[in-house]
Amino acid sequence: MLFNSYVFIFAFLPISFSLYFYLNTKSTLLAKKFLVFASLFFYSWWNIFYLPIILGSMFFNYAIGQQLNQQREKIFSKKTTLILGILANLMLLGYFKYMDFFISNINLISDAKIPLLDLALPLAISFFTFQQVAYLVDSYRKETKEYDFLNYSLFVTFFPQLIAGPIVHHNEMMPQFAKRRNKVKNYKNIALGLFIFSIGLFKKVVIADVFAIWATKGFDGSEVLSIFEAWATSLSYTFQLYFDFSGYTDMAIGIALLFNIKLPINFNSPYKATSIQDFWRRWHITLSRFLKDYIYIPLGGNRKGELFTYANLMITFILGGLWHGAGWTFIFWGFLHGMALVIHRIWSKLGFKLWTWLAWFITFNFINIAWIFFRAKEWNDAIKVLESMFAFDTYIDNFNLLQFSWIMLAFLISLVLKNSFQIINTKYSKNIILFTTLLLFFLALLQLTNIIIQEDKVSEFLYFNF
Amino acid sequence: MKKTIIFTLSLLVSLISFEFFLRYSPFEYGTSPGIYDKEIGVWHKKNFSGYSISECYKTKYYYDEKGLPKSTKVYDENKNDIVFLGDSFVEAVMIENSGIIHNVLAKELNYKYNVLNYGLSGTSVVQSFMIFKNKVNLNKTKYAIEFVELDGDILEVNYQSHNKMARPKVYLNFKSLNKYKIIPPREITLKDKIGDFLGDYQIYFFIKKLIFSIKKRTTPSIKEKKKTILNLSQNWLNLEASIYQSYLLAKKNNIKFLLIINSKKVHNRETLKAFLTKENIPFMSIQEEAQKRGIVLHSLSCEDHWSKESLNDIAKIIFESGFIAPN
Repeated sequence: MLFNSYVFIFAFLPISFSLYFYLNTKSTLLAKKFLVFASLFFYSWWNIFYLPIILGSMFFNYAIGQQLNQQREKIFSKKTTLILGILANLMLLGYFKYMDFFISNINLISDAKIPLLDLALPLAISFFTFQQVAYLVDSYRKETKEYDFLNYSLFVTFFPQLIAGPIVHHNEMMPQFAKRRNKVKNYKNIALGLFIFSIGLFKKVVIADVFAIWATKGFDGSEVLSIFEAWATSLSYTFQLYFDFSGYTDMAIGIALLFNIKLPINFNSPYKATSIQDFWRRWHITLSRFLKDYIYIPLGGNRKGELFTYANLMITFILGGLWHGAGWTFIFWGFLHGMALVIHRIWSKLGFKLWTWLAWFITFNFINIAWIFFRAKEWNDAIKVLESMFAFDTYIDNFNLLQFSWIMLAFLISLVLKNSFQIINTKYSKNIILFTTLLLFFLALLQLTNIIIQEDKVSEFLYFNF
Repeated sequence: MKKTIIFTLSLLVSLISFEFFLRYSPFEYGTSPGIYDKEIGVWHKKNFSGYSISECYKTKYYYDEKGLPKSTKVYDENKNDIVFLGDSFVEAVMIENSGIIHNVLAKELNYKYNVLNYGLSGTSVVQSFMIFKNKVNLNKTKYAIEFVELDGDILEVNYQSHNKMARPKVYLNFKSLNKYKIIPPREITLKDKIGDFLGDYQIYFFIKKLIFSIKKRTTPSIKEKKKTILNLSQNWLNLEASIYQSYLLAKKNNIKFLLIINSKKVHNRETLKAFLTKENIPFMSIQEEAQKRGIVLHSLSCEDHWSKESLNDIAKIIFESGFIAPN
């Protein structure tokens, strides 16, 4: 079920919200059971065959977590148990997500003709696997523990963050579910939740889906691009991705808030970043946190000298690229970001400084160019766009004023206006919040209907593919 | 009370914003090019331009001061006219202006004539005759080329098949080839006036498409119903007699006339050809003519209308047929 579908907005969400708080007045245990059931129903809506995978993963990780939390003597040491647990998770992810990539590379190198498995990627597998790996490591570090399977299920499956994050820690979620005051409706949270949800829905259907048309046309539809088309295509994708994913996150945060659960911030105006390090502190913050806490620091972080720090950065970001998708373009994207972070580190060490506007300009353009590899289905698509962007010998033709205007508008929104997080932390009068919520919601709903009647389907979120 | 005002105000602002959004985004619907006309029922807006939008094209179209698809050259009073009659295949607003048949033919003829396009979408040979009679300057016209989209027209030439909810349209009911009664377009209603007014707004088309989409989901057999016309004898009479009347009108005014048959159904084609041969009406079956020259007429990828290349080929076929004198 997609957040931007009628069935979710007008049926699933109001029913699950009402029943959850009603059941809380009868029995908190029943309410919790219901929320897990509703979340699994939400997950199964796409494909019920994925349900056993998430259930199996949950049972397994819960059992490993129990082992890690127990004080008594065990057959395996805690470290061995943790390694086994992580390996099993990575194998599950590897089998579904990376097996075909691995086979096709073997075939390419060895001329072997091993048939591809053509496995469908179970929805959200990258997200729920990472979340549970984090739980295992936290349990090992004694930073969290969970003895109740129902609570654990709720932590993994809570539907607002199940499909595409934010990637949450067990110890930042479960205490919120345990709080007594969170079991009753909070009208302030409802108002704020609907406000953020509307912002997110608006970002997705009114902004991201417009850029999606131009990005798809440029990357997949055109054989040759003029210099204007190439820049407009890359920028269209840069803004599509941001408004799509941050829109999804806003919706997730808004929905969770209806249930009195505060999800962590995931985007903090990333395109305002003035360095690549700054960018990763603003973009997909919960993933950056995961990569730092569970890959970069365990690898040694910056504690083992400069060369190791650079190597650790490269490894972390190449793995980060691979997490997004099984393809060399994703790996290269990760490599580019790793390289940029290494260069930034050397630059900072040397004490060089840049004017802020120049730092922003370089950072933004690097991010924009790197996204080309992230988006392109094939190398050739990426090279086509990239070469055209720097084909200065061609004259500017096919200038699309409409697309140019939208890009300028997106720059304005991304660079000048407050982001969702800043908006919710600003005090506005109730009437302004009500008016803005209704305005954004009505507008988004009209455009949602428009997309359905023009394209006969609801558009998916980009991060559902990762 | 305060909340009701906020609700209403936000709804109103969102509707206005949505109109702007549709107008300035790739989701644009285009605006209506038609306006009520007391003789034909509907005619193009004069001095008007807009976008024709579909899955596979977004083309800007232009109508001149008479409401005709714009010609690439300015009208020259000292030259004679060649007129095209027909439906949307001739009007071809989905093709960029220079590629529409009248402009291609004008170029082929080295602009020795004013080539004018009287094509009007949603019409048949019945309305084409009335357009010829009422809108065309017969004194200046030297050639008239009428297209009949036979497989569609045969179902649409009978006023009984007219959807009362659709825009008004003139019809002719023939008793014989020479005897007919004009069924004028119904009077313009308030609904039509509102439609004409709202036709300038994107949101109107959004609502229309929404209603159509809902109807399509609830009654999937609308298209099938339309096709279940059993007795076509009156339709054939109306079709043949309308062509005959156009031919007579041309003859009376010393206009050289050519009928171009566009039909994929051999039976329909042969029936009409037999009639035209019997009445000595000059004609050309475009599919057969293209086949003879080894040309394949292609449609657009998302609909049946001819592509730019096909319109170009058809114009060349007409030019090479020798129907039009070089000077």
